[in-house]
Amino acid sequence: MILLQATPGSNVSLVLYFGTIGMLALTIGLIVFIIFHQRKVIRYQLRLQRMEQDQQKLLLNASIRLQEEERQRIAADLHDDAGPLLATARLYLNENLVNLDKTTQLQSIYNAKQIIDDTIQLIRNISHSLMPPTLKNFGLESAVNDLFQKISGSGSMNASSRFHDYRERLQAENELIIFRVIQELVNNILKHSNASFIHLTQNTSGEKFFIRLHHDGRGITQNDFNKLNKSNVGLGLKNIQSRLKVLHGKIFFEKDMSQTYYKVTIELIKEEEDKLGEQE
Amino acid sequence: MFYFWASYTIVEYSFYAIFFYATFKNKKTKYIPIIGTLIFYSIVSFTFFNKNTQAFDSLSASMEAILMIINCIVFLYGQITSSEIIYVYNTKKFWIVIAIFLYFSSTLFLFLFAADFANPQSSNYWIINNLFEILKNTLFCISFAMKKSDANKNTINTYNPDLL
Repeated sequence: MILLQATPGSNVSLVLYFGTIGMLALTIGLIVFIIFHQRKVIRYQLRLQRMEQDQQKLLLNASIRLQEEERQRIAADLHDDAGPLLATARLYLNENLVNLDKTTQLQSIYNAKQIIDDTIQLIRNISHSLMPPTLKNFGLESAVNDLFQKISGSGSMNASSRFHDYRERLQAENELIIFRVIQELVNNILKHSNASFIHLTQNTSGEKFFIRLHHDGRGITQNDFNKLNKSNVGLGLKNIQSRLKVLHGKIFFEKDMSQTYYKVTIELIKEEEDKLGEQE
Repeated sequence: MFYFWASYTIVEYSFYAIFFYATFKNKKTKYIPIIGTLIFYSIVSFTFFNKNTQAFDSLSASMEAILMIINCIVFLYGQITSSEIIYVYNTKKFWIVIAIFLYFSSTLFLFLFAADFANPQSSNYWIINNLFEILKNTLFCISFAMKKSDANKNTINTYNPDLL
């Protein structure tokens, strides 16, 4: 104020006009900047949202397709295996009504019994593939060990698993999800990698729960995984992603430090897992 | 006339300060109009007790303009950093703030120099105030005429990207 009072009259009007114009320009500039900046942010958010929607759509399609494939497989198993077996058993039993010879009757009853036993075994196998009884009764550790023993038993590959810290079982539903993810990964390794060994380890670190899979075959890295996830192929991988999304889990595909092995790490948060269990 | 202008400034400032206090959602930013009000009232009290012969309360009007500009900048900054994405120009408050911002930033220099004007000079310069007063009231009218913004209507979810 002191400075302004000291300036002569003509200078005052000059300062007043320039000051006013300057302030006005600054204000308008600021307003325009805010509007344009906001539009830019919105454009970016929209793009992100659209990408997320596309990704979710892909995951949903993958899980629907997988469900349909599973249904088709069960239908084929029942139709192609159980159906003819039961029809044959029926034929043998029908023969009893026509043939009154005691020895032939006994023979056909015996044959029918054999066929029914086979059918029971077949249905049990289908049921086990839907929900492994070891997983239900003894937990993830036993189910994974069982799966790896079966793979090792086939002689084509050396498979081993080791659970370092699995004293408390996870929620049954979550164990099933993790088991399915492991199954899918192992399946992929068997089908595509040409590996000679698979090794699975489990451990925890604080609130985090880790499962690591090592193999010496051809594997994929995180970049490949992201690409496959965005494309229309890689149904199994999308299925893994959508299953892990339920558990708020993460999966990392990488090459080992030695560049010899491929490593897949599944990371889950134990607290998250508990919360999900409580909600259910 | 001094007391008339001073009272007008106090009433005007008080209304705007209440508006900004109600508008700011962040607890920290709510302190800005409160602190501003304390500063403003202290200056007004000072000018009341040390009144010169001048007719216009230049000091308190300039102080009001500076404080209002600060409030407007804080509001606009809040709009940029807000996580809630609402189109800023679709809200009533934005147009009110813009009106206040434009008016006070354009008249700040006028208020600063108002004490130095001789009477004939003052009528020449006062046109700046009148022009921006009209602009301010027009923007207020736009704001009042706007339909109450529905929070969902202006959000990103219902936005048509083709308009961008």
